Amino acid sequence: METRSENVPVGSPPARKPSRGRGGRTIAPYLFLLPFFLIYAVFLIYPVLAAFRLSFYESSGFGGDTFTGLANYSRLVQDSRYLEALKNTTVYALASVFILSPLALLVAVAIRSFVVPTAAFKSFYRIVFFLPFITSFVVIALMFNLIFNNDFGLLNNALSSLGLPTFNWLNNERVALLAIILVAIWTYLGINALYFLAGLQNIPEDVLEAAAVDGASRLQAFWRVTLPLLRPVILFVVVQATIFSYQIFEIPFLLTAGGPSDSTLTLAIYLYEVGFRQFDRGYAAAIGYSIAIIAVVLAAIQLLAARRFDR
Amino acid sequence: MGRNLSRRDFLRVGGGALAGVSALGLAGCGGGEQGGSGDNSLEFWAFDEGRANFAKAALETKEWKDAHGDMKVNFRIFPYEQMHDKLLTALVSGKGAPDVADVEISRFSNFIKGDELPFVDLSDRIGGDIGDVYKPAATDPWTWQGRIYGVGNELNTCVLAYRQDLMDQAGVQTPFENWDQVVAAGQEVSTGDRKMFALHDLAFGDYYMLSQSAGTSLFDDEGNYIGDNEESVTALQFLHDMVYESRIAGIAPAVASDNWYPPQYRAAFAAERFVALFGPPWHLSFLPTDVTEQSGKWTVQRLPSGLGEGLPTANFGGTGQCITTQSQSPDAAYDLVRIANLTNEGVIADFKARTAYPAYRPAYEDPALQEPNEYFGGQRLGQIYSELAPDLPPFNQSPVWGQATEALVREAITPVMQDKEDAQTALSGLRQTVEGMKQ
Repeated sequence: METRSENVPVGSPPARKPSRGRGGRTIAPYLFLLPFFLIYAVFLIYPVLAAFRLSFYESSGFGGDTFTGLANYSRLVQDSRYLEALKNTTVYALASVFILSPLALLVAVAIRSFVVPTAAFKSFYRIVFFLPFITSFVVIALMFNLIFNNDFGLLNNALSSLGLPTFNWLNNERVALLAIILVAIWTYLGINALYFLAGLQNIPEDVLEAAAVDGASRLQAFWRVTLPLLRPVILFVVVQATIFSYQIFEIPFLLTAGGPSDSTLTLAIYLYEVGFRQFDRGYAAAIGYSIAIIAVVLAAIQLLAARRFDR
Repeated sequence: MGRNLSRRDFLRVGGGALAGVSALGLAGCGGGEQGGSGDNSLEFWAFDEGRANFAKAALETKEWKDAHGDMKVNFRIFPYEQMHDKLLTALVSGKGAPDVADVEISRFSNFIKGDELPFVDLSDRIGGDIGDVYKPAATDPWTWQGRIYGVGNELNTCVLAYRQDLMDQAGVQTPFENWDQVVAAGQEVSTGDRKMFALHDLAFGDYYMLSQSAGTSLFDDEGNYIGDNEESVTALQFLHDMVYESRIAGIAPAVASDNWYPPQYRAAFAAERFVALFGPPWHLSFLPTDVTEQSGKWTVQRLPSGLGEGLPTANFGGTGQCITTQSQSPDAAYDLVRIANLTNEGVIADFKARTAYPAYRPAYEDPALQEPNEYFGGQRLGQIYSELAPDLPPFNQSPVWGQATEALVREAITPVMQDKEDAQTALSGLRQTVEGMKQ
C-alpha cells in the first residue's frame, strides 16, 4: 500500500492520501452513506417509534395525550369495524396467495413454454404483463370504474351478452370485494409472473432434459422438477403477496372507499379513517402496529413452514 | 491531513449528527404555536378553485386595498381530502397552519374534538353583522357551544326541481302541494327507462333533506342523537318506497370519488333517465352547466308538505372560512373573511363568478340576484331562495357529526336503499353506533 506513493514522478504534486481509519477503512464511504441514514432516521425511524409510543396513549382531538397502556390494543378485538376490515383484508390476502400467485405462475410457464413460440413474442408478453404494475392507481381506478359501471360497463355488457346475470359491481355488498380482487389480479399478475419467469429461467435445461430422457411427461416434469426448483421464488412471491395484501389501500379506496357498508373496508383504509376522519390518533397508531404484527407473523409462519418443508 | 475514522468513530459521529437532527425535528414538532405567513402576509388554504377565487375577489375591493393594500395573500389549493388532512396535522402539531382555511361542513366536526379549538372565536368580531345573515347557512355549521368559528357564504335552501315540460305533457298539475301529488306525478312520467328521481344509496343527502323538512335532524340542540325518531323513520321509509313501492325513483349513479353527482349522474339527467330532483342551489347548478339542452324546461318550487311538519325547505352542504389560532394576523384575516362573506361587494362578486346564492341578506336587494333565470323558465331564483331562507331549520353541530353521517350511510342508507333492511330497524341500530362514538 505504501509503495504506491513512492512511485509518484518527481515534480508531480503529492497524491492526496485517502483517509483511513484504524481498521484500514476510509471515511469517504461513510460520509456518502450518512445523508441516507440521517434521512432514514428522521423520516422513518422517528415516526415509527413515535407511532409506537402513540399507540399506548389516548390521543384524539385537540388537547393533551393520556397514557392508557394497552387499551387501544384491547379495543381492537372489540371493534366490529376493525374485525370486518381484518376479515376483508384476509380474504384479499388469501386471494392474492391462492388465486393471484398460481395464475402468475401459470402465465410465466405459458410465456416460457411452447404456448408463446418466439423470443419476440416472449418479450412482448413480458412488457404487456408488466404495464399494469407501472400504471397509476388513479388511472386504474378510472378505467375499472368504467368497466364495472352498472349501466354501460364493459363487464356487465359482456355478461348480459352471454345470458349471465349482471351486477352493480362496486355498489353491491356481495360482489364489491370480488371486484376489488379482480382489479388487484389485473394489476399485480404481471409483476408476479415476472418473478416466476426469472425463477424459471434459472432452472437448468439439462435437468428438464434429463427428466424427459427418463420418460417424464411435461406435466410430470413440471410437478416433479420445475415446481420443487421454483420453491424459493414461490416462497418470495407468497411472502411479499401476504405482506402487501395487508397494506392494500389505493385500489379499494379509489374504487369503493371501503363501501358499500364496509364490504371492502381494509385495515389500511380503516386506519386512515380512524386517524383522519375520526381524528383518533392513538387508536390509529395501534391499528397500524396491528397490521405490521399480522404481516410479520404471517411471513414468519410461511418462512418457517418452508424451512420445515425443505428438511 | 486525512483524519482516521474507525467504525466506532463513525457511529459516534453519525449518532451525534442523528441526535442533533432529531432534536431539531423534535423541536420543530413541539415548538410554540406558529403558523400563517407572517406580519405582512396571509396564507389561505382552499380545496376548490372557485372558492379560492371567491376569497381572491375580496382582495380587489376598495375596502381591502385601503386597509391592507400592501399585504400579500398566498393561496394554496389542495384536493379536498388532502387539504383537510393537512390542516388537521398542522393544527395538531402547532406549526404550519394557514391564517385562513376553507372548512367543509362535514369536516368541521373533527376540529371541535377536545378542549381546545384550533380556530379563532369570531363571535365578537361578527357582532351585529349576525343579524344580516341567514344563520343556519352562514354560521350554524361552524358554531360550537354558542361560539362562532367560521363563516359560510352559500345559502343552501333546498328546493324541488322538475321538468315542467314533461309534467305538462303528462297533464300533471304543478306546483306540487304535497308528496302524494309528487308520487302520483312520478307514476305518470316514469317509464321503463325513465324515473322521476335518482335517489342515493351511498350518500345521506336525500334522507337528510327530507328528515329536516319533516321537522327533525341528526342531533338536537344539546348534541344528542335523534336520527331514529318518527320523523326520521318516515323520511327514510318514504325514500325507500319511492324506489321499491311506487317505483318512481331509481338509484343514483355514483362512484367512490363522488357519491353525490358524478359525471354518470349528470349524464343520466342529460339522457332524461331522471326528470326531477331535490337539493340546494349548488346541487342544481349542474343542470345549466352539464344539461344545457334542457334549458327553459325546468321549474323550481318549495319542498312539498306531507312528511312530518312539512317544512318548505332544508339546509344541506356548505363551506366556511375559519381563522386558525396559529395566525399571526387574525385582524387582517378576519377583514378578508368579512369582506368576502359579509359585504354586498364580496358576495355579489361570488354570485357572478359561481352563481353562489349568498347567505348575506342585504345582497338580495341587488338587481343581480333578482334577475330571471332563463334555464329555470324565467323564475327569479334569488327571490325564491331568499323567501325560503327564513324557514331554514337550524344546524346542530356535534363533534361526531362527520362520523355519524358516515355511519348513517353505512348502517342505514345503503341497507335501506338497497332494500335489505327497513328504515325503523336500520335507524334504531344506528343509535348504538353513534352513542358509542368518542366526543
